[in-house]
Amino acid sequence: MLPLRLQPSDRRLGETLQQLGRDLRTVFDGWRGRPAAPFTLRDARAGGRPAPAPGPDLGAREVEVVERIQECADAVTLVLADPRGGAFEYAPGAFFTLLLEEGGEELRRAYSASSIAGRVDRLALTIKRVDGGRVSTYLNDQVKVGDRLRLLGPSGAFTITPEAAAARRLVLIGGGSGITPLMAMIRTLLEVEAATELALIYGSRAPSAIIFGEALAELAARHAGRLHLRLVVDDAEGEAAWPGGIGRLDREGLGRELAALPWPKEQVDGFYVCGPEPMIEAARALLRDLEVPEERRHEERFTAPQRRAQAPTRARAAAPVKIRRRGQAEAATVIVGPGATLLEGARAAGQALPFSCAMGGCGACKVKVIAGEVAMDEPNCLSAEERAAGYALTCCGAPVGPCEIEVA
Amino acid sequence: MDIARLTNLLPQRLRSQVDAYFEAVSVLAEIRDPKVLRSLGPSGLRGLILHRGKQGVPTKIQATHRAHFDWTYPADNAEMAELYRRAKQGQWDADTALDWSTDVDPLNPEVPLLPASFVDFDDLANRGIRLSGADQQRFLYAITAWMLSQFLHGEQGALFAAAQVTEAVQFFDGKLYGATQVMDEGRHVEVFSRYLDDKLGRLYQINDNLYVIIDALMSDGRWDMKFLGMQIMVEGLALGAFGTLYRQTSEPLLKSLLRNVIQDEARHVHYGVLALREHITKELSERERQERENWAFEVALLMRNRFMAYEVYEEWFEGTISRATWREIVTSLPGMREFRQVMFSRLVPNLRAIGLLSPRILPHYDRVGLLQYMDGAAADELTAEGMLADLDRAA
Repeated sequence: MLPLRLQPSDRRLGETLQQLGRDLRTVFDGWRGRPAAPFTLRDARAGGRPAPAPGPDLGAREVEVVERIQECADAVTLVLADPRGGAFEYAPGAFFTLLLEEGGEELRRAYSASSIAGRVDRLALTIKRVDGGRVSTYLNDQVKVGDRLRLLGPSGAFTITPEAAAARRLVLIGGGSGITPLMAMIRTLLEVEAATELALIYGSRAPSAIIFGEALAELAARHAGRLHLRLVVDDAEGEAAWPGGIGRLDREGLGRELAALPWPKEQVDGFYVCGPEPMIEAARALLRDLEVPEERRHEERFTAPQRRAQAPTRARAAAPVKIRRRGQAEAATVIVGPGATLLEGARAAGQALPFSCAMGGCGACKVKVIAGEVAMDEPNCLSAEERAAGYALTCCGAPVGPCEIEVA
Repeated sequence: MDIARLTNLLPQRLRSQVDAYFEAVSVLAEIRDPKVLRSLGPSGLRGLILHRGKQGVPTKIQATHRAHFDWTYPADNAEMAELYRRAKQGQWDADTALDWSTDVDPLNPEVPLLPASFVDFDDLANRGIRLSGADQQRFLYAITAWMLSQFLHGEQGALFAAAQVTEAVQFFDGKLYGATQVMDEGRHVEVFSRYLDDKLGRLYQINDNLYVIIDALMSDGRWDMKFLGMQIMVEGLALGAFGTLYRQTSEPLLKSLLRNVIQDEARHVHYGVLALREHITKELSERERQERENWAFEVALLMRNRFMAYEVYEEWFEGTISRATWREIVTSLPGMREFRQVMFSRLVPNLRAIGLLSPRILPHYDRVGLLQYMDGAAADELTAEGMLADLDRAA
């Protein structure tokens, strides 16, 4: 053994001597009037405590921006690809949810795909700038090619299943950014269904605000006779030769446009309406008056994300939630943490629940509340009837206290 | 000997030190049982003179207990098995059970950590200490942070003691229960340190007297002494202190934190009563029992008389008022009076229940005014809900 290596007893002696030194110093400091500081300052971050657990993992996939297309002054199309080479599979009309982090807060926004649908390598989402909208402003102004985003979806029931053999006549009515899902339908159906004809009534604020103006004109030219374009603007901005309609797509304006369709209403296989609420209401009333059967009427409402409000009654404390699954005798109980949604709490506890858009827009996560109360962020896509029947959305609903839910 | 007259002759910086030494000596001199003195003496030296808890480095204390293994895993104590079952059910996760997003402003008079009535500021003014409104708020903040810091240090002691007791106890059901208590104490360390770090931003050093008790428990090889010290005395102290703070604070996060902790502590004291009652009444000789009885009395006195928050004194008044004046102030704080009242109303009935309040010691308790608590309910007759209901009623 090397002479320098300490024997255990030597080490023990060393420790004792060190302790003796500290003891003497302490006593000496006391007599000198220099006692130890009575307290130490503590910093939450200096404590070495791990950062709070990251937001619940909803299984979002990471995608990369591979192209930016400026559609007009206030709308951009982001073309996304999976950096690991995976495909996107969705029906025309579907939307996706982008998850962005800002200041520790996770923001979720839904954007419709505008690209040709099916099983594809590239997915285009078109984002209209919303005044004061944090996410849309960021996506319009700052996102660059090469940036990574997190994506959920596809979601939504406002879709068409393309069939090569189909020969349909469809009327698409869009307003503002409501053109986006219709654009995916146009691109896909013109490509896949050779015998299908489409008529688009598209309302915008002004010619400069028209999204996909050039792309639509190009498609109409390429598929002559199969895409009837009718662009309507509130204000032609002094364009003397504006070829489209002028005026709002309200009951009167939209009524005029419907009367001018190239086909009698009986020959129309479906009406697809997407846009702001007043336009949707006008379309709903007109189509009802025209006695268009309900199964041929489809609509999608867009809610401005900045108007979404988190439920103020989200539980301040953790709440136990019993999850019952139809057809199973045993219920599982999970603890949903303060401020978390039912979906987040269940996933954190390893309980899978159905969901899709995770922002109250698609209804995929609808459950029945059997006991207790669930507060929901507003607005969301639940109808008044569904609410009255005790349904709630787990993605934007949080327990107010202990509760029990039933999953279909 | 009149310490004050003597120390007044000394320069200021020496005066405090002499007073501290006199106090340390008198703590030990008051101990009558030589066996108790032998058990507490070295710890007293390490804590009161050498300030081992304040040396700025981790403290090493040699543990000497023996682990008790049983390879037959008997179901040997139904009451402890029941406590184990309840303890499993009563587990909680501080991440989700408490709302850590609560914004705590220690100086906000609208949501005070402690009410002004905790400190009698008029009495302070009569003694020449006039504090402005803002200073009063800061003082209450210091007292709260000091108390919570002592809770935290006490919980560290409880964590290690619970682990040691789990090794040493001879009931197998007690070992299983003990595992849950180790978890409980770990959680308490978590929540108190997190609250201090995140919300109050400061940690006071361990009080020397608290250090003495912890040091004595850690180094005592007899499992029942650890048990008595930790499960009955320190937990009783904790219940008194937690209960007082729980009742008085208006800060919602602290209130719910304490509520959760008190529910755990109620089990801990209950366990202490179960384990010790058997042992003290059946296993120990009368001389051994008497030693424990004396020990408990001395520690009770230590807890009643010696938690003087000198750390707050050093921060606020060192050089302004004497330690003796500070002692008078702390002793007469309304909040401290309540703390002693709650503590002993829990502690004394428990000592009775485990057989450490025999007629021979009663005169001593009577002399120091603690006999009034004799008729309260012991921990095995009380539920956590009952205890919290008592506190809520009094609030």
